[in-house]
Amino acid sequence: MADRAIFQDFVVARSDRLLRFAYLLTHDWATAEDLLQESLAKAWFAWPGIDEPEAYVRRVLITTYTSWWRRRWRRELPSDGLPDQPVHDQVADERAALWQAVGRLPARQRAVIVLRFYEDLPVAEVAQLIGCNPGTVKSQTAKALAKLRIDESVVKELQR
Amino acid sequence: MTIENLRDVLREHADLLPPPNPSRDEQVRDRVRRTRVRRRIAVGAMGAAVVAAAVALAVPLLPATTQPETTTTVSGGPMPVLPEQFTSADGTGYRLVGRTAIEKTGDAKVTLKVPYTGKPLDVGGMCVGPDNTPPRVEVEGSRLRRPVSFTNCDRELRLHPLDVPEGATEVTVTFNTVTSGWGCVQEDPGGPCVTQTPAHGSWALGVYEWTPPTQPVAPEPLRNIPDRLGEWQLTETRSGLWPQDTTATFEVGGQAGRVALDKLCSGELATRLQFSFKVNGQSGGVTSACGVWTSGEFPMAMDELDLTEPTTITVELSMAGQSTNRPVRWSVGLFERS
Repeated sequence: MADRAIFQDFVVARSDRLLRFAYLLTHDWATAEDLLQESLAKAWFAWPGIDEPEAYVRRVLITTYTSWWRRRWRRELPSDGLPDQPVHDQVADERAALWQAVGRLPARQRAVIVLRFYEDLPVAEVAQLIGCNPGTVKSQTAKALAKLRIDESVVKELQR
Repeated sequence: MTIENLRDVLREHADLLPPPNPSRDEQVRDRVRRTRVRRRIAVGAMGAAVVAAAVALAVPLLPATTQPETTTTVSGGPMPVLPEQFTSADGTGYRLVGRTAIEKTGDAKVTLKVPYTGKPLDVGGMCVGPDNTPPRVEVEGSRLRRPVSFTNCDRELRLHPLDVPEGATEVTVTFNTVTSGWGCVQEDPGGPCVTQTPAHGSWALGVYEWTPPTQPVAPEPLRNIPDRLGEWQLTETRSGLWPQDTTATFEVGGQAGRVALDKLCSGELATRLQFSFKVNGQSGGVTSACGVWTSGEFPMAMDELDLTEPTTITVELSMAGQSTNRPVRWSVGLFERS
């Protein structure tokens, strides 16, 4: 159980990492800050009953983000993945295009991608964080990678 | 691209230096405080439900030309950011052609000029409150009698059609939260009526140009209008697809007395379809919007008519703004008292 006396220390110590995670989800520092603060405020109320504060805040961050996204984009869908025409063979251009394509993924797929390939979490843990079953994580991962045009030959090895 | 490329890109961006925020701890405490206050208010409101019936709302704040329908207070936070572009569910591509903002502590009115290329334009807005004076959209040279107005202050992107003056190559739009008149709220019968203070939130505002789908996109099938709504019994329905079907007619006997009409629509632009009524060829003087029923209770919004003789009711449909290749499925139900 977490003691409320350490909440402030937690905010100071862990915010930077959580903010970066929020930024990977939102692609915007101001929105990431908003998302982080909202999640920390929610966590404060549950604090006395939390066993693992960082995991808990991260879970709140994901659910808050997907609910914002659902409300904000309820009637809109993101554009397709990468453009059809090849990007002029500059590595930097390709990376920029890939980052933009990640930003166009639906909320849940984006969360799956960040958790699996930035946080390096296994399927089961991602499923627990997002609140779905492992099969959904696998299918969301496959769909997201297809949209990002990631080489599919390496996708199979990721189904661990 | 490979998984490693993806990992690199994610790490590269996660390693960027975030903007410093030395006040984060204090800001989180503020949010906690605000949430506590909201919870107390919610609990208080439940306890006072019986008393609430006696609460009298006097004149609301009156904007300069028209009154906002509803307002919502939401917690603060940074100014939301309008997306540069997006694709709606029916495949319509939206592109931001101009953006502006009304800051909480800044000017209550801002003007934006955008080029007009012939493609339809929408205004878009997102808000963090508290706010009780949502902006009206005033277009220079507009033919509309009443300007469009934003309603809810929240983080959802709201879009409204922008009326472009004929022959324009550029459009000047003013987002105006200035109010005139005054209002007060009487908490208790016989108690003092407390004057309300206008407060505008932080609004991210802009103009979007949209490109219609290449082919008409079929709207979702409509749910049936309920057979009974309270004391009203459904007697007939007429259905159609905008823009092909633009009128519907009901023949009603003279014994009907009071009748009512309700509407239901589907399609991306469903809420922009407007209905007006003619009774024996005479305008009923009412124009109302269409309900969209996706979940929950039927969104009842009846138009009632008193009839004393056999009557022909003609329903005429019109669309606010353009709707190229974005049809709307509609249904109108005629109700009589059971």
